[in-house]
Amino acid sequence: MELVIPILKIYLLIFIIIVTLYMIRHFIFTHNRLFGEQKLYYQDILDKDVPMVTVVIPMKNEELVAKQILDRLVSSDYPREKLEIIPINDHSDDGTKEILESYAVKYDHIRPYHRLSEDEKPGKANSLNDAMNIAKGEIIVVFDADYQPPDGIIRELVVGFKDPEVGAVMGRVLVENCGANMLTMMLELERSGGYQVDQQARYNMDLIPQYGGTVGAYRKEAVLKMGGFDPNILAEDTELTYKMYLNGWHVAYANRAECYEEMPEEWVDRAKQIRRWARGHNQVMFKYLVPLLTSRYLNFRKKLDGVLLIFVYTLPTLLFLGILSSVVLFLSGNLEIFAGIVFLLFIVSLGAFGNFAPFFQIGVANFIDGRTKALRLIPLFAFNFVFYMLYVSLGFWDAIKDLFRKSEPEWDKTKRRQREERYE
Amino acid sequence: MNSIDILLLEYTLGVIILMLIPLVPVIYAVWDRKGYEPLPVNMKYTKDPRAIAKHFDQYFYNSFGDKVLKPGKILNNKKLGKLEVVEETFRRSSYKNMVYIVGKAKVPDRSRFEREVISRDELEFGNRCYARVIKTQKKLILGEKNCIVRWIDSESTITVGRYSHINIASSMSTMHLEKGVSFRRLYGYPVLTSHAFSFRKNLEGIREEHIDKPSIDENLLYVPDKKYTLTKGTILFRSLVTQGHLIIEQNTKVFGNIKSNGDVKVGDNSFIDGNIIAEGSIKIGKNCFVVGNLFSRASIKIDSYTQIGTSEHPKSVISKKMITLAEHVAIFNYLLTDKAGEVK
Repeated sequence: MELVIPILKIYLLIFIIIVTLYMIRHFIFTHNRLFGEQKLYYQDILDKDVPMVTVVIPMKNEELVAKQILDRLVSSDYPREKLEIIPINDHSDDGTKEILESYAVKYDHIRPYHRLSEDEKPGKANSLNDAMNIAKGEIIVVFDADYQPPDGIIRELVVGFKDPEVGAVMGRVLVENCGANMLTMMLELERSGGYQVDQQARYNMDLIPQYGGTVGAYRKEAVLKMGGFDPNILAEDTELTYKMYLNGWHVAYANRAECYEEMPEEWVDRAKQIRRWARGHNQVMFKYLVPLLTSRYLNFRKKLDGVLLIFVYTLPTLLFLGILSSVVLFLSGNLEIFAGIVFLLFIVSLGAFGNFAPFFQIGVANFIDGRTKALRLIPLFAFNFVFYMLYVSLGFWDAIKDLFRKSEPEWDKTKRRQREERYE
Repeated sequence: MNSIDILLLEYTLGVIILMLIPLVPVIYAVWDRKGYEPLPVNMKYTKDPRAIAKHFDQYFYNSFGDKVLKPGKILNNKKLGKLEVVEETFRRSSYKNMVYIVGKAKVPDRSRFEREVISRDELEFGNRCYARVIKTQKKLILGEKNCIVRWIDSESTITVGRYSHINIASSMSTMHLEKGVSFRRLYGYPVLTSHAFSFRKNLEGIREEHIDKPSIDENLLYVPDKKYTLTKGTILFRSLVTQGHLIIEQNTKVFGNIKSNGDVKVGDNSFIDGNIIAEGSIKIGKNCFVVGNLFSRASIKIDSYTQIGTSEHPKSVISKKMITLAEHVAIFNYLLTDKAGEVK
């Protein structure tokens, strides 16, 4: 016990320093978005010479949304002769295959690829790797099946590759079903904080904007040269971000390339999603932390941002342990209330109100977006953070287990809803 | 309970009550469900530099299209307001309403139009005129020192006289800009800062000259130095990324894209078959030919007898700050600046 108390105290102190560091980081981002110089993305470039593009849509049992995204993509303004659409049917056992085939008959630039054989392992990373091998395009654009790409979005994403240093481009995701219930509205507020402030500020400050795995694009040759996607990692998007930067490429963020997505409407689905993200992100952390610190392509600022980003899904677990330590210290009479718990609670509440985005960041992002009424929901994030802390921590432990198991994790698909059904 | 316990209890209760106060607006927000709508996205949005003019056209003809526009008439529309129909003889020098000009017309010097000027015929403005918008279907000529506050658009050629300010201009044909013209956005086929400059129509004899050379290597030539120089007469067949400033000396040819995290300076008589992207400023020397986009997060300066893009390969010149064009420059076909552009 004599040894435990000092350890807990040191842990608590280190933890408070780490959380404070994150808070400063988010204050800087928010300040930059409000008052700093905004970096111009390339969407204003008009150029008739466009590269061949392959749009890849990984699908598993997506009969409820498959038609919707294909209808949106066939109305794209990108030149038809330079566009190829490859929906990947990844072991679906519903009507997805039939829907894709019916579109392939109608449109010659839609070329579905069916992954049905038992030899072909399921999963998004495997699907994307297969798609790259058959794609004609030099640029791969990825959408998840529940997304609704506007007509001009492919051009807006692809124009970023005029810059020879850009290896991947990320667009902005908006929640289409945010009016469904309180959960979806909170998710939209949080998303807004993540994209409108966090991503844009990191792009402005030449740090590490993140490729998000959908509403994004990347250079096929660059990714193939880097060995494609690791099928053992669930967060193939985060992995690609780090791979890009470690190989000298940059990620550009296109804030005006906006696309709707469908968010989970039930807490159970959200819990599974968060756990999966946390697991994948921490897998990336274990794999890329050392290469990140030793990279010759990254300067100190980028390395610092990269480290803080890579630990984002580790922080809730550290927080959980921090709360446990403070409780133990308090009950054992080793923690003065005003010196310890209150300060910790203050810092944590600041950071945790918005979970992945602190409350002030969410506030500023939605202010920029012109949505102020929904901000009344912000206090609810104080409760949401307990939910996040639990499921992110579970995801973290999953990632630790993966370290020892070395087996391919199974893809846990998010439940979809048909649009009409939602508005009945 | 001793006094410390009571104090602690009161303190705890106080904190709980304070923490519950923010939940009052939450309850109200859950109850009235206002502001829950998704952010609007224009699903049909397609980039078109003439979008404002086309939209206005559609709006105008939807509002007045069926009516007979005879000179002397004043028409009224709830959305667009009053429309005055005039012909070639302008009785006043100042118009507060929207003006529709019938037939080919010449607007006298120092005329003032507080709102839009619309014509389906050729239109010529004298000197020192002021207008909010000019929209014509045929040739448009602006004299010297005119000021157009918002935009001009023509489906035929546009000529802008010396020291005029045109803000946004788009044309489906050639746009001639004389010395001293200032702008923010231009779109023409092409935009010329002179009448006399004969631009290159295509790439014949330039790409072919190097057809037996190795193809452009997409592997980047990555230069971490603070300053890098491509020496006089170099021919480079790959894309180039520099961490610092880049100087391309005269008579150099680059077949690939260029990215600099500093400034880029291209020497006279150079040929660049690719985009030039710079975090700093871009300066293009005399008699250069760039078949690629120029994109700068600072300023862009283009010297005389230089051409950007061709009619077959239209490109853009985009700058966060200033764009300065010398006389005798041809741009195919788009220029945009966040601050100001000028022909010097």
